[in-house]
Amino acid sequence: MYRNTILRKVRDQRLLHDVTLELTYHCNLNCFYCYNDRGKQGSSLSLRRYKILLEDLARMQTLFLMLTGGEPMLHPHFFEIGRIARELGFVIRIRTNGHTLDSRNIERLLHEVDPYMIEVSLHGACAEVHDRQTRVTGSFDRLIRHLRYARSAGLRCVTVATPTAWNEHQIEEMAALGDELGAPLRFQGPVAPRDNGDITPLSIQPSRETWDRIKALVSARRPRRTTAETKDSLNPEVTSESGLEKPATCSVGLVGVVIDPYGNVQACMHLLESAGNLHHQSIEEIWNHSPLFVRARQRAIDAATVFDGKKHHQFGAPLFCLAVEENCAKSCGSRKQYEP
Amino acid sequence: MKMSETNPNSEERFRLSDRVLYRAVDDEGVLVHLENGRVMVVNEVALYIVRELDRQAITVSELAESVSCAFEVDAPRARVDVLLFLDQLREEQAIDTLASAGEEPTAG
Repeated sequence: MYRNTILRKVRDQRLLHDVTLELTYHCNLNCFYCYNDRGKQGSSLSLRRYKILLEDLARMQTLFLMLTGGEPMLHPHFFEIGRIARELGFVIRIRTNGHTLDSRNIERLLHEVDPYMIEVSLHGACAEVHDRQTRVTGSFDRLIRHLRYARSAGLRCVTVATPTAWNEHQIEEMAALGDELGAPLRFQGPVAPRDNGDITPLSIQPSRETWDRIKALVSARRPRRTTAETKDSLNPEVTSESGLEKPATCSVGLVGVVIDPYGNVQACMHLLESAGNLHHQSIEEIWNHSPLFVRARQRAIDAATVFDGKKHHQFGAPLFCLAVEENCAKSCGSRKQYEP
Repeated sequence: MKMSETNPNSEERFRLSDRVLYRAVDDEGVLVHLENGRVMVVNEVALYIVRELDRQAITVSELAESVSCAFEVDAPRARVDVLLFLDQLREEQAIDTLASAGEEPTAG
């Protein structure tokens, strides 16, 4: 019902349903494959600007708000922004590395932000693997400690893993660890180049066989549904194209935007072209009048034609991201990465 | 016991649980329950009732009268629809009940 009815209306009427706020690019970890361009420059949005933005979004009936980064909890006004968002009735999700998710911050999250979901990055099933990727010794033990407390305090958590050459031997163990922690594991990928075009992260791309293993694992773990209605997925990302719409590689430009720490409004967190800046325009003006979203959508439609109806793949992962292609091209010339 | 099958106390007031968030999408609504993660999609009339329940603690009679005026339906029909929807909301733990003025709410 949610997908068939609501998302259809959201798309048909171009309602801004889902917003991601990249609050900061600062981070207390140093992940080898982090895609953020920490050299990106700009004037950070003030708390006042965030308040105006959130009030505008509430008026526009935006439902989902993702707070991410960098590490979003390092933003000096993280809790104020979260509290305002909660008061304005957004369904808040927080994507964090978990390093700052200590007992004090968990209590503050529960009482001030009241998030729907916490998404925590998991890099391995043991300290040796996890800490190798985060490049911070002790980060695994700390994460596990924090996750256990978060779950016991009542926060709904999921873990998110990007398969790499360093952790691909632990795919099953990571899934089991997520279960044991009460924070089910979701896989994402492929490893992407950094947003500035640095392709160093691609050196730890996992094997294609790993994605086949993941596919089998996910399939085996998928619950068998007996009822559908109120168990709809809350993920607003549109994963299947249907009806009269032209096939596209993703839902870019249709239902959501990403806003970087400097107020740039983007169609996707990796497609860096800005549709407008919140220092100069309101989100309503940008969403309703920038041609960038239509262009991004057209690019996703054009990209889909390459696959000719077959499933999308990129570096073995079961998706195709325009931005991975674009950011690769910054370093690789016009070399194509996708293989239909 | 379902409210639609009984005659609820006329003093009983209902309000939307603070664990429920909602937004309008065109003429429909999406409700998200923060505790159980469940999602409800509701029609225009139900969205109107949700908004009323969010605005204030309200009795069945007051709700029915409000729906009757807003949608130009007769009061008995509005009351039946209100009771059925309140049953649904109670099943989803989406409303709190206040037995009388000033009383602490109880879920469902």
